[in-house]
Formats: sequence, C-alpha cells, structure tokens
Amino acid sequence: MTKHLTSDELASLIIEERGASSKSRTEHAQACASCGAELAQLESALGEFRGGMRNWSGQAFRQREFVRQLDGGFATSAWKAGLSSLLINGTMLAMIVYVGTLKPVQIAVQQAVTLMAPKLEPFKPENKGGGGGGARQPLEAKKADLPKTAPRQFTPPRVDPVQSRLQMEPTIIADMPVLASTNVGDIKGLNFPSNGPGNGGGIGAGCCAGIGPGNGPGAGDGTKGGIGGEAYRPGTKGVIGPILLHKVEPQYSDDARKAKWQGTVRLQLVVDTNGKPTSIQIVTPLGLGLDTKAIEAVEQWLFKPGTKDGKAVPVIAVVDVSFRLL
Amino acid sequence: MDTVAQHFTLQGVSDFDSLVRQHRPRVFRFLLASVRDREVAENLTQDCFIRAYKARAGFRGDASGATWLMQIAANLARDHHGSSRLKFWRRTVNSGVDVADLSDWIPDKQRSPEAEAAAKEQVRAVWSAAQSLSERQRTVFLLRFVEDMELLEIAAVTGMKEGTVKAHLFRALNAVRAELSHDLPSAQEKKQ
Repeated sequence: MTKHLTSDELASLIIEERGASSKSRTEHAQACASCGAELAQLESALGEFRGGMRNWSGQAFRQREFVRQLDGGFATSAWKAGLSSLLINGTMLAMIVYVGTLKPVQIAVQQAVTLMAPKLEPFKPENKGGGGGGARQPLEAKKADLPKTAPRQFTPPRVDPVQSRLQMEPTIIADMPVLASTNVGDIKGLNFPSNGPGNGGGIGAGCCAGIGPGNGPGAGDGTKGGIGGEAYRPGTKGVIGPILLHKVEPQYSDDARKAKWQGTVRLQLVVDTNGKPTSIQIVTPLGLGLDTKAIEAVEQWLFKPGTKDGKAVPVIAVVDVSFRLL
Repeated sequence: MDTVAQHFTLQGVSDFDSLVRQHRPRVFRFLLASVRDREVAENLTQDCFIRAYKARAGFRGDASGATWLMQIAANLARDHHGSSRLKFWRRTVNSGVDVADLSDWIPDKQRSPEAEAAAKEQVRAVWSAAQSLSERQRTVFLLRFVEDMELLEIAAVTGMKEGTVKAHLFRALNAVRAELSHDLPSAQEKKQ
C-alpha cells in the first residue's frame, strides 16, 4: 500500500469530481481506513456547514420576505394601494352601517343592552344614622356626652392629644335641647386623650368627622348626618314594631308642679336589638323640665325589640309621655 | 437554466421581478455567509439587484443569469470587506453572535444529542476556519461548498483562472482540516 494521502491530495479528492481525480488516490482513500475516515470527517463537516448555512439563510430570508409582503403587498403602485385601502375601509364601514339598520339587529341590541332611566327628582338627603371619625390613634376613644348639634358641620369633634392644662368651657344657665347620651364619645376626656382608630377626623373607629363607629359627620353607628345607627321605621315591609314590656312613670318636675303645668311630651327613639331605647329625641317639647323627666323615665323602659323577617333589628318608635296633675 | 438575456429580451419589469424572485434567496445566502451580518447582507442583496437592473442593458448573455448575479454579489462582498476594515469592532461583535446562530441551524435530522453536539462542533469549526481565510479564499470556498458551483462557474464569477480557484480551495480546505483536528483531538492522533 502506498503511504497516506497528503492534505492537498485529500482536498483534490473533495474538490474535483470523483471521476476526474486520479484513480490511485481514490483507491487509496477507499482502502486506507485512516485516510478514509479523515475524508469522511471533512466531507461530513462541509455537509453540515452547507446544511446549516442553508437553513439559517432560508429562515432569515423567510422572515424578511414575510415583512416585505406585509408592507409591500401593494408597493407596485401608490394609486392602486390608495384605491384598495379606500375600497376595503369603505366596504367595512358600509357593512357596519347596513347591519345597524336591520330590524332584527336593532331588536337584539335593545334586548342585550339594559336601558336605565335616570333619576330626575331632586336629591333628598336622608337624615339618619351617623358617626365615625378618629385620627388613627391606637387607643379607643373615651365614651361620654355628645357635643352640641348643628345643621351644618364646620369643625368635627376631636380631642387635642397635647393638653397642657385643664380647659373649662364657659357656660350660661338656660334650657337647651337635651340629647340622649348614646355613650359613644367624650371630647372632654382627660386621661389618654385619643380620637380613636378611625380616620378622617372626628372621634371613634369610623370615618369622616363624626363620633362613633359609623361613617359620616353624625354620631353613632350609622352613616351620614344625625344620630344613631340606621333604624327601621314601623310599617316598612316585614318590620314588626317593638312592644313595651316594662314602663316607668315619669316624675313631675318642681317647676311644673308649681305652675300646674300639664300636657304630653312626644319623643322619638330607636329601640335597639336588646330592647333598650336609644337615640331619644324630643319631637314635641312641653318645657319646665318635664322634657328631661320624660326622657329620664323613658330611658328606663324596656321593649321587646322590633323584628324584620324574624330577626331583631333597631326600629324607630314614637312615644307620648303624658303629665297629668291629679 | 434561465439566462438573463432571455429575461431582458422582453425588457419588462415583471420579468426582472421573476429574476429577483428566483435568485434572491441564493444571493442573500451567499452574501450572508460572506459578510456574516444579516442586516448588511439584506442591504447588499438589495444593492445587487439594483446594480443588475441598472446594468441589464450591458449584459451580453454569455453566462447564465445566476453566474452574472453572483459576480455582482461577489464584487459587492469584496467592496464591503474593503470598506469595513475600519469597522473592526462592530464586525467582531456581530460575527460573534452569528457563529452561535449558524450552529443552531444544523440540518434537523433525527439524531442523538451527542451526534447533534458533534455536528454543531463541526459547523463551528468550519465557520471559524472560513472566517480565518482571506476574502478571496472565502468567496471561492463559499461558492464551492455552500452554493455547489462548478469550478468553471466559480472562475467565471470571480474572474480567476480555474487553477487559481483550485489553489484557493486547497488552502481553504487545509484551514478547515486544521481547525477540525484542532477541535477534535481524535483526528490529530490518527494523523500521527
């Protein structure tokens, strides 16, 4: 056997057509395992390279062609492009309009879309409920008397956490509308002054400038202005009014007895779920201290709480307290 | 094979369109392999057909359309190579990405992961060998082994003699062999 092929001889085997290469070299490559392996390796490497190159460029070319077709479909003529755009868009618009004019489509749209008539009557604020407040302070607010009522709120009740000295409000002596103590806020609290864990000003755990756990600028656990939680009115569907269980007769005030004053005090109150009257308000006052006496008496009354659908709920009740001199 | 002369006897734009459609992938492939940068290859492909379109009157029809287009492409690749010597850094970065690209595109046959890794390694070796060649050698190498052109066709495209083309191919193959045996020690052992 002749000696191994030189690299040039190997190369010429690859480059030239098989027939054109010298016969002896071809024979040697076939016979000699080493040269044959080297030749095979070289050829396979070149084959892989060719294939890889073709795949790669084919892929890159297809991507490019795709983009070209996307933006170059009508590139031959701007006039043609403009016209076809107009046609396509015009046809689509016409179809949309045409479909909109069909009766079945209109009916289907009416059925699918719920039309809601806007509320046209003037807005009537409901004055019930109330409470809320707090200044994100960790302590619960102290519970005691309510501040005075007003038709409009300018300054929400709050306690000043830094009190350097005791403050005493100046007062005069006179009759004034008396509010029931709902036992939810004390702006005069001295120890651990706190506005409660709520937010938005005010005192308590609720929000928005009131007092108590509710929301809004009122007091109690309802919302909006006013006092107390939201209570039901007797006569509302499913609501059964409270029934009086225990009554305490009011006492006469000294002034009224001297003046031989008699009549009826009408009070509105909310009977809570425990049957206790809360949020007592005077509807028709009588004067001469009898209003206070009436409230004091009614506060001790006990009711069977009103129900709605069998469940105890707070219900508003109106009671008349009569004062008669025998 | 269609000749450009046949295309141009009609002197119609649509005929040139069909010429472009027919030869565009091939021209693009050659330029991509030559310049190793997709963006540049795309631009050069465009340039190639623009040049061909402008020079269509001067085409004598004594070679096939493919050869004529390849000739233009080879000239463009050479010009690009000459002008981009200063853009050394940019080319280095781009070609670094392209090597990875190319070895990902090996022909998709059903084969074991080892065989695939070996094939990738082979492609990488050939690719880096091609990069180490001079511009003329690489052109000849690519025309022969990627485009499968005959020696005479290559001679016509590059304007060299057949013997010169052969000599370039010998050198290119030696470089590939050296790179392969460098990467695959088994081949080196066998050689000794």
